[in-house]
Amino acid sequence: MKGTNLGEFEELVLLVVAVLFDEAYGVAIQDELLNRCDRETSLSTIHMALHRLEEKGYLESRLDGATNERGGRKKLIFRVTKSGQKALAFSKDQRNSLWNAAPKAAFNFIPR
Amino acid sequence: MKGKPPVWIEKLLSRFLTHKQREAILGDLEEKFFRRLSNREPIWKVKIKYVVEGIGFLKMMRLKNNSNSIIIHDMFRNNIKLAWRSFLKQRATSFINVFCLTVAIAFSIPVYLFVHIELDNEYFHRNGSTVFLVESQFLKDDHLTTTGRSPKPLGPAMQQELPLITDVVRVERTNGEINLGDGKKFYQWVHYVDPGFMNMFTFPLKAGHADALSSPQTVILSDFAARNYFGNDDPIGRTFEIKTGDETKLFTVGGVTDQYPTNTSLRFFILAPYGDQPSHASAHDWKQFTTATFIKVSHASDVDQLKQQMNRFVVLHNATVTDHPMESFTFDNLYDLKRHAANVEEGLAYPPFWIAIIMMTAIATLLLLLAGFNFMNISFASAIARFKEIGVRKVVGISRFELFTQFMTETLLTGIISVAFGALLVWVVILPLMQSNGVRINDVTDFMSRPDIWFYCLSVLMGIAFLSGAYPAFVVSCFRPVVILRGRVKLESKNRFMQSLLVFQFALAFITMITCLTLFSNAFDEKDRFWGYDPSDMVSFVVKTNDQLNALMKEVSERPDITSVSVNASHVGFSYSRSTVEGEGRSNGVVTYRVSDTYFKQLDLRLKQGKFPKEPGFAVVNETFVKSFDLKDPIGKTFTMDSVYYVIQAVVEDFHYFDFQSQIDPVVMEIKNNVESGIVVVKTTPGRAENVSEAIGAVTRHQFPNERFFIHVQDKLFDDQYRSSKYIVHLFIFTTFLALFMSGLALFGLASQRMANRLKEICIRKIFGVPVFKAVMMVNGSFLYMLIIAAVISTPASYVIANILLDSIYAYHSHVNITAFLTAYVLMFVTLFITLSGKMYKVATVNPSEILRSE
Repeated sequence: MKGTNLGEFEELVLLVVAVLFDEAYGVAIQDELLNRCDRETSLSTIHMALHRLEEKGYLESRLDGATNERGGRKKLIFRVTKSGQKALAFSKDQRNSLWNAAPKAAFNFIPR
Repeated sequence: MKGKPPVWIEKLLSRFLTHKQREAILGDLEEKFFRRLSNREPIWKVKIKYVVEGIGFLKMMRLKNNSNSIIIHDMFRNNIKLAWRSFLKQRATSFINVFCLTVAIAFSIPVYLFVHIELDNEYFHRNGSTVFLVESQFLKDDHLTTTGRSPKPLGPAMQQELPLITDVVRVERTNGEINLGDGKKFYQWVHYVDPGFMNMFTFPLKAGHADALSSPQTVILSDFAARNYFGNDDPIGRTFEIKTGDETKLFTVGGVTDQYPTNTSLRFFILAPYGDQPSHASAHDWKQFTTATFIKVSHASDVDQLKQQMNRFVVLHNATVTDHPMESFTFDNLYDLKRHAANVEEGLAYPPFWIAIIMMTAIATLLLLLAGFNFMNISFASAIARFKEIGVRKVVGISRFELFTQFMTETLLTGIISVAFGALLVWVVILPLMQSNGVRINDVTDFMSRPDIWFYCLSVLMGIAFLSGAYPAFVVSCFRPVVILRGRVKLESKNRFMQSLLVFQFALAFITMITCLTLFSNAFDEKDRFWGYDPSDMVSFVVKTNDQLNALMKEVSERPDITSVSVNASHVGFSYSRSTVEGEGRSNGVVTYRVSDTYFKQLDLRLKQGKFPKEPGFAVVNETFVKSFDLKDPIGKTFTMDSVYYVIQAVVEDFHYFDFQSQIDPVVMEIKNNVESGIVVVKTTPGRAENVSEAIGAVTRHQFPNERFFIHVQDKLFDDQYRSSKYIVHLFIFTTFLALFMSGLALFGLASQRMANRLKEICIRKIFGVPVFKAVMMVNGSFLYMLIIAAVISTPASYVIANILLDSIYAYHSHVNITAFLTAYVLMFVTLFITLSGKMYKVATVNPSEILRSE
């Protein structure tokens, strides 16, 4: 197991769920990923990621809000849990510390 | 635009998703579905996207199952990828395989549809399994005969007295004259039925109400009739007259059915209320029979119980008659009517068209077998070419099961592609083509939605996969890598097996071709076959009244191109009746004709004994009659028929009074002069039959504009039969060439592979001075031997098969002749020689240095 580490896509999905707050369900996440991150994804990929995140305890879900355009079916709304927030924060801190640790010279490209 | 997402995705996904997931996922899918729809994307695109996305969720399956299934899942994905790649890589062989299979499948699907509708013609009636026809049984000549007719009061009586019956529908079918006014007249069947008809049987309604039949003098028309009567106008509420018997009644159109399979025994033009039939006064008379009485029960098994309760009705009927008492009633399920039709007299159903069923099934089976073996041979050959790959993979540690599944996947892929192409070809090209040529065996629109067609395609696919794929895959997976990689030691013995498969394929091709050519020559002969009488220059027409007879006789007698005229009650090739003859201590069923004394001369029957009679009471019989009564000296012998005495005065040679398919029965022709109406038979001077027929037609149209006359030129009477033969002939030619083509393709594929394998060897031999002929024979010689062996094997086999087929179809047929065999051999050898000639030329002319230079 990778421990509590988040995959890149998982991290994105987790963040998008946070962005959408109480409106995060499959199609909305897909749209948001396309609009904000320019990433085209299939619904099944998103649901797989959501499922995995929920298993890890980073997300919680509830069934809510049936609308006619969904053939009368309810939405599965996701929210980020406390540990999800921690994982995101951890991942962000990790990156920040890595960014800070990298010497400026590392990104200093001399045009050839 | 409206549309619904395909349901099967929902069903599929529901199998493994939890409730929560299902709700969310299907909701998401549907949301996207409707969003795309409102974006005005075409519905088919939206559906495809829905399906693709839905299938994507199959990977959720992995979440629930253990890790083992992941490996299998990946293996299958890998196999499919591999199969697809090798399919694309071996473009030529893939094309040959797919082509042959597609053609065979595209041929077999219409055959399946045809056979299905011939045998299960009532399949579309949803309640069919609980609907039964009541049949009456009588003792006739010491054996039980069954008739589809039943006493008129039986239906209501059963409904009243037997609580097991949920519904009863009586059907009275009569000929009617439909008068639409303005001189527009039709002569068609009218079905008088009880109001429950539309509930009991599933006829789709296009307009109006199904309960229209409950109100008197309201009819339901078939789509066909409505279009004929009123064109494109709205038929609902229109009125017209129906004349049945002497009674004329005005009817209003209350409903129109949509198109339904035309082969049903209940095919109708007009459905009218049962109470409106002209002879309805006799509805309570147990002596009177109606065309059919259908009952509906809750469970099909209830009829066993019902059978025991039917005796009271038999008694009621028998109380009204003095002779021929009824024995019993029996029930026949709606779905079985057609299959049992041959044993039921006066039933609604006609027996299935066995000739066509047998022929088509035989040809379709042979073609499928041929394509399957072709496929097997080619996939075997390509598997052998991949020995090294297999060997290496085995060394690396692939299991036998995995290897087997890999090869099976490749076979299945080709199979799936072929079946899909075949079905598509049928759907898009063949069915519309057949429809435009008037052959309606199925509705194009419901073709893809019928589960039985899917089932049929699937079983063909499985058949192909296991016939052609399982053995090569098994053999390949069995090889030991050491043996493979060390050299090609074992190849030769496998080659021998492959050769025998190829021989089998050639033999199949021979059998297909010879069978087709034999049937072809028989169909061709039929036109020139002797009928036993002279049908040339003969015109016949039916007159119904004495007035008509007199008027037309006057016209006929004035024409110079008419040599003789006779008026008869029946006429050969046109009609006949059946009776029972008693004499010499036995009784036999016979075919009878009532004709005038001049008729024999006109027909030019071949006299064997005696002379043609001139007076009533004398009879002419055929040879079969003499044989069936075992008469030593027939002339002057007497017999009774319908309690009248007859004296045999002449015996004629057997003649085909109906068609070549039916057996010739004993025939009695008795004299009946001066009939007032009947069939007028006119013999013309040579070549004038057409003109006379037209002239008579003109006279009848002028003098009797309200009557319809049936005028036939005797030669043409059988054109229908020839026409069906002609279709069959086309079919045979097509199949023969298909078999040739497939053999050619198979051989080409194998020869290419053989040459690729041995080209280097040949080049080295050429350097050492092997003669060209010998070099050619080294590569292609074995094919020649195989072909000869195949010809030897298939000769007796095809003789037997062709004979069985001919016997099962025709009571009288020409013999299996040698021309068919010779033609098949010559065609095959020539085709295969042409196929191989390119390769032969290459072997003969190849420059060894070109090939051997590169290594």
